[in-house]
Amino acid sequence: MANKEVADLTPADPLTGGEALHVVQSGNSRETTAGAVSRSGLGAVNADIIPDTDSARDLGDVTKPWALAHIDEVRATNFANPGGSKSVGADYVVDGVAKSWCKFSMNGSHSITESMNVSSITDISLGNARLTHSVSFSSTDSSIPVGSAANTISNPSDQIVSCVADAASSTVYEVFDSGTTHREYDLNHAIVHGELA
Amino acid sequence: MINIQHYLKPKEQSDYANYVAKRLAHIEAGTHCWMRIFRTQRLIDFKAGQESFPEIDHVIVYEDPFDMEAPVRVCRPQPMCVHQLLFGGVHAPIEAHLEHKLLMINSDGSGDVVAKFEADEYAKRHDVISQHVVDYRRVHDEVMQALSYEKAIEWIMMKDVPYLVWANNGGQNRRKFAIADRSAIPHDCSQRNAWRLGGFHND
Repeated sequence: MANKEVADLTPADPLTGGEALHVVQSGNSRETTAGAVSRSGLGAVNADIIPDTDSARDLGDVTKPWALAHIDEVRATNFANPGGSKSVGADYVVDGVAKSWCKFSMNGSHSITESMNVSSITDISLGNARLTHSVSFSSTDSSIPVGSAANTISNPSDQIVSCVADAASSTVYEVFDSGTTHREYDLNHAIVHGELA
Repeated sequence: MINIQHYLKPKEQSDYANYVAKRLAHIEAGTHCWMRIFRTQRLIDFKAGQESFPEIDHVIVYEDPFDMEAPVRVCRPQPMCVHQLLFGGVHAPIEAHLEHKLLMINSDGSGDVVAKFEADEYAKRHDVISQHVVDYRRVHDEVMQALSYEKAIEWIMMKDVPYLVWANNGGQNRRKFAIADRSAIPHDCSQRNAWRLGGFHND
């Protein structure tokens, strides 16, 4: 080994764990093994990033999942449970996320309690409001689950809600009593699913 | 005038500007605008330390440009959106919103591509069954710096109120909208459908 650089050495075969390694601890040279390094966690990563015996490029496994990852962007084909028995395509997950939501009062103030991707609420007339999105949807084909309650969550009444995307950038929300009369209630919500522009 | 500093604890105020600048530096032009809103909303929520912001002090009262007999409409800017505009680095210039293109599909199977600001008038003249956005790149590609409170309210009005209401007064001498104090809006809605623009004063 004398007079050779590390790069000049013959490449090693796959490690078995028993190989001797030189480490420096507290300024002192010490001997350890590849297996000890692996058990400390460093080798476990390397062993599975590189295709192992099953030729799969895995990170961790069912019994030894990674505890936490900080990732700027995940690009995945599928999402699955730990055992892999249930999975869904990433496109469905991405498209299924609510892109806009809003909880608001129609009664007098037309105030917004909580919202996401909503730039304003317009009181059009009695029991009739328009939510305008900050970022438009790609079309008027968005899906909008809605709800309305009279005054408290424990006192819902028999109102009827009509809601439709009247434009790619807005949603019209109408509330009626059990008949055909427009009403204004305190607790209303709309959640908009669909593809963003 | 709303100042985000009012919502911060004293110990947070000193490094607040640096904190925001550092976080917003990750939000670059070209990032999907929804992502910019999402990231900033979490940032503002966290720094505000409270569940929601107080209502904005002003509302936009306007007439239906296509139905003079209809009750006035009251557009209330969403507080979080106003704060995003005050922060800057989130939303696109108003021109990007007004000029993006929409494909309007009519019930007879015909269709036309119009700019967003033309869409309301087009929809009144045609039996539109669906809209499809065909060009939204500028909203993602262009990012505004922070606006003043007044400019933020104006930005929301131009985006969310029909173009015919505020552009050149709809071609008429009489104004069709008013920026009113929120307190001028009655809480009693029993006469809601009788509200007219004359009952509200410009701020």
